[in-house]
Amino acid sequence: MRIIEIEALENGAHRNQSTSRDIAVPEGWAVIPDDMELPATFPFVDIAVEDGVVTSMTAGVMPEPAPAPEPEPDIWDELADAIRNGVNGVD
Amino acid sequence: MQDRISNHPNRWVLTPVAGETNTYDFTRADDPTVAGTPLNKATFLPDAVASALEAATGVSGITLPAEALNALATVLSGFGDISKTAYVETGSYVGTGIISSLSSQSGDNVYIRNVNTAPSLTFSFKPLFLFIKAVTASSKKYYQHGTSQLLFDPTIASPEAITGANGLQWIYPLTNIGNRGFIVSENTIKWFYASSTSDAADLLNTSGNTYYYLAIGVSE
Repeated sequence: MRIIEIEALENGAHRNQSTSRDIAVPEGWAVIPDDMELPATFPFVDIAVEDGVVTSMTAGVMPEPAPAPEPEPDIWDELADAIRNGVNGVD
Repeated sequence: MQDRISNHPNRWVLTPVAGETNTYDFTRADDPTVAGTPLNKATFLPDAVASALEAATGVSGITLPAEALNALATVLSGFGDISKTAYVETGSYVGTGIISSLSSQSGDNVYIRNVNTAPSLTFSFKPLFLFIKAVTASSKKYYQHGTSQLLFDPTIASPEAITGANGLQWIYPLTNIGNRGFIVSENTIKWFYASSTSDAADLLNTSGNTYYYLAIGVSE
């Protein structure tokens, strides 16, 4: 049994769950028919619901992934040279 | 078993025994329409059943129904409370990327942001244990199975969620496993990260990632 929260989250995704047993559908959630294909963008989808059942599901917009943080500057070589050569002061 | 049905219940014929004083033969004369199941060894505890019980229970010398029932009682008592039913449920979900995590803390009270949109799972029973495993695609195009993580443990008190004056929900007391706090309501578990984080993976909620779960529960 597949269920999906009807209201999308702030980023456009829908909370969802696929379970091995039938469960009581939580309030605000709907059942995804077994034969409904999930778009590749799932759970970022646009859905239409009628009587607690998803009647249509189309691909949504996935947010851009957050950029990777700038790498830390490599200071280890400088530090190793300083130790080898000696340091009389620190700027 | 079948009851005896007769036209003259409890009717007996007494025939004096020749040569004997005050000695009679009793003969049933109830005129049965249904003979009923006889009460004898074959119907109470045949040898084959007694032998089977001895083999199954490890109790020897079973010859009477009371001994048979006692042997069964001894074995059943070893199972503990058999009125309970164990439930197991499996499933999966796809992460939404929303991060529900610590906003601020004051003593034992913590303010959690995005509690209302924290990842949650609903079951057909109240779970006692919940395990979640992530399956992610590596850069080498194969899928890695992450270590299963015990997310919920009933020995830890379920916190109470209260909406504060500023609209944020705060959880008291703060209890968590591996920095993940949780809220249990009926058959639904919702969880958040009980520390600061900007990585949805800490919450087992990476956007687009599939997570598999196993829940175990017991009937009330």
